[in-house]
Amino acid sequence: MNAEKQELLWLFLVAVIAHIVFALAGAACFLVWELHPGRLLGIGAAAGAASSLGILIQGIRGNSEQALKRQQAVVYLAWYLLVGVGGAFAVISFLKTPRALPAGVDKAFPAAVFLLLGAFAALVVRRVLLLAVPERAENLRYGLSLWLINTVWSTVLASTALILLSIKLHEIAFWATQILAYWTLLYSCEMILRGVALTARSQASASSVSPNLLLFESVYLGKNPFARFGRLLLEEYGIDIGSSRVGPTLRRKLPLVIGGLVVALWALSAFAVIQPHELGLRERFGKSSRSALSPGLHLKYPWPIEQVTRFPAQRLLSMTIGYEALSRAQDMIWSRPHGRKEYRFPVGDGRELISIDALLYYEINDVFDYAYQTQNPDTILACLAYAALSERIVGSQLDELLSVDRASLSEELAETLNQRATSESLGLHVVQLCLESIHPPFEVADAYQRVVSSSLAKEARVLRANAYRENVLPAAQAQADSLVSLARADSCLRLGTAKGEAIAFIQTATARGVAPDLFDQHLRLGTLEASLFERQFVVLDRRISTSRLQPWIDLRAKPLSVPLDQANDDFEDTAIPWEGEGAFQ
Amino acid sequence: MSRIPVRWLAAAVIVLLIGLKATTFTVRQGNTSVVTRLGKPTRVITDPGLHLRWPWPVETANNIDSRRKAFTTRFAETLTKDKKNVILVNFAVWSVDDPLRFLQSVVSSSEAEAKLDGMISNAKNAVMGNYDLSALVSTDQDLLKIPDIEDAILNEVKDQALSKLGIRVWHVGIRRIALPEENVRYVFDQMRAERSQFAARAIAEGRRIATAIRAQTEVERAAILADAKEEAAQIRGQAEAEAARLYAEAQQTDPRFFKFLRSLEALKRLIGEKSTVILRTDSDPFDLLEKESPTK
Repeated sequence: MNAEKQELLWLFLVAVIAHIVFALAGAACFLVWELHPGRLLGIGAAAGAASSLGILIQGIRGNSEQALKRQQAVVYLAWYLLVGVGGAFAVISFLKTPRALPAGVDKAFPAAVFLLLGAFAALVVRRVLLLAVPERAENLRYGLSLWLINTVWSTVLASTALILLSIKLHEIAFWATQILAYWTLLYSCEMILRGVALTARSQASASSVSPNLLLFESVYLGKNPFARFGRLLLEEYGIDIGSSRVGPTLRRKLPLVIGGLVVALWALSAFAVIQPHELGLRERFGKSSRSALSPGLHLKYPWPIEQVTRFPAQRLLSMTIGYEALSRAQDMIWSRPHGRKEYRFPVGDGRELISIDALLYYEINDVFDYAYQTQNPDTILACLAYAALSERIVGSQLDELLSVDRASLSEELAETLNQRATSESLGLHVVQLCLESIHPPFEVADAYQRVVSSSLAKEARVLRANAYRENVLPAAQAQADSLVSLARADSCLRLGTAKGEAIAFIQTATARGVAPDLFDQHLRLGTLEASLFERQFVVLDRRISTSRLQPWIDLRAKPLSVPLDQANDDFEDTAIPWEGEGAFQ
Repeated sequence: MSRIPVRWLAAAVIVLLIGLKATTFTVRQGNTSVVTRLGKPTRVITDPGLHLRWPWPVETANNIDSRRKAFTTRFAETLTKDKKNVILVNFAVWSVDDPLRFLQSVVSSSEAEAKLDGMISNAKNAVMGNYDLSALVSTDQDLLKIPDIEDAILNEVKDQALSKLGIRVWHVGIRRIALPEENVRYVFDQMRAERSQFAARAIAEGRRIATAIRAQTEVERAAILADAKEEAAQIRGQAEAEAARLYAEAQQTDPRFFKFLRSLEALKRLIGEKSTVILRTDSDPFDLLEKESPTK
């Protein structure tokens, strides 16, 4: 392996280690201090570590020097942009957080000692790495050395701040942390600039980039940053500003330029811009005027004589009551917990629990009171809201609250809160308390939903019974109507028949009067004809039996179709007994 | 302008600024400052604005935020007079009343709150020992004593907080009332059981009403049909009566002939297709088989 390739591999090894360190720092920023940009730093640096490791492995397994050089630019780009942007965001977040003493202030001294040990370790690491990295890798040795020096001094400054905190010199400690934060922001910005500049360069020329920063060189090694900048432009970008007149002139007038810039920046602090949703309070040496500054541009004495504090006084603010909201919107379903945490309030003599989810909308109605009467007016309002809600519901039962008139309850609570907020001089006005959901805790919500289901089932059963009734009764009525109508029809028919027959009889009787016997005989024979036509009949000789009376009708099932003489014989044998002998007794 | 005067000017400005910073301090609106000279408190400044001091390390201005502040206590389980466990989360609104005492007794407001939390927990346990659970949660409004409890805790705490911490407690409130998890489990069981009872009752009630409706329907159907049958029978009866009257009137004209005619009709109807009629030769018209011709 030649020396140049060895140098490149060293570079990638250092890049892996550095990225891992920054990934851990980013994770700590996010997990410990909840600085969200730390996430960006962590993820970016982790990705950088992974890619550097990949390139390193490829280099060890035999990738050519040319390929490694091409990838070097990518590693630098990742290093500058990801770590630079992440670091800058983390510092800005830190600077924007309200100034307050850290919770673990009593552990400041041990932490300072721990940091000093870390600084010592960084010094040792620097020495070891300088020995380990080959001398030919000059760029790398130089850059690495500067980074480690920066780590040592930053750690020393942080530990100094902690020691100052521990001996209650809070003000000086605060300024120490501010210096550290602004310094980190400054070199993060240089990293970002260099990363952006790197993207404009070809990959081949990017291989000559060194990992050191101009700010490190000027601060730690006392080198002239402008001369270094000129050399950097010449070496890495091919721009020669030394040969022009701009460079020497700039160098000569430098104190004046810097002084002018400082004064200009200071003069800018004489302007205050209040955004449309804000109101401002002007403080002169800490003493505030009662009148608020409206949105727009305002002139004031520059810092530190006057300062303007801004408040979102025109904005409708909100907070959740009864649950802790998730960052994203969530459905309000009984059987699912709402938000990150949902509270349960005891009701009904302590034998029942209820969850009430409310959104409190409020606004700042007195900026002066909001700013100076209380330290945390929003927290006080939240406390008052919980107390008012608890007081209102502890005397009720769950079922009462589930069916309560929410509009009037909401109004009642808002009114109570406004009275209390006024008496506490919070400078806040409650606009509305929206009762989003009143429900039994989600653990038992299914039981309540079953009751509703059962009520629905009950209703359904009753409805089905009513449907049956609606079906059956009209059918019965129709059947009844039919019966009556049929009876009427039968009646008409019957009467008609009777009338007809009566008239026919009278007419027949009248006709009979002419020759009654003949008429009767005629009728009798006619009837006989009609009755016996095509029917079985037997004619017996009147002399066949004298002692026995012959029946007129043979009730036996067997049809008689035998010849007359044979029939007579059969009849003799099976003659039906009469008077005292037979079956008719 | 030569370099040396510019540097001197810059240095003078910087020295002047440092001097101003070292000899003055500002007290912000709502803040109080305790000035200590070599550690000994010399004056308390409550007026906001710019004030003079000897430079550090001779005099130090300790700024204290004297605005009112709310803090929420930890969850603390306590026992009521009727031996029931309850968890109370309180909040207290406080402010620094005696800055010097505050500075001497605590480092920061978070430390003051930690100490105040302890005092409130202690007072809460003592006060709740005098009240039943019904003083916190009850459907009987007369039993609820939340304002009394809050006042009692405040009275227990305020003098102590003022004398020991230099802070004035404006009021103590109950932010949340909760039950221990073990009790919550049983409350849930009871709530489930109660709801199951309601659900079963609803189902049974539904069955009862539906059955009643069906039964009533059957009764009404039977009544409708019975009425209809009765009416139909009446109609038919009236028709029969009318028919009988008509027959009777007709019969009166010749009862014997009517009987004869009716018998013949009955005969026609009675003799079916499968009937076998046995007649004798001495009956009409078969007597013709034996008799001589009437013309002889």
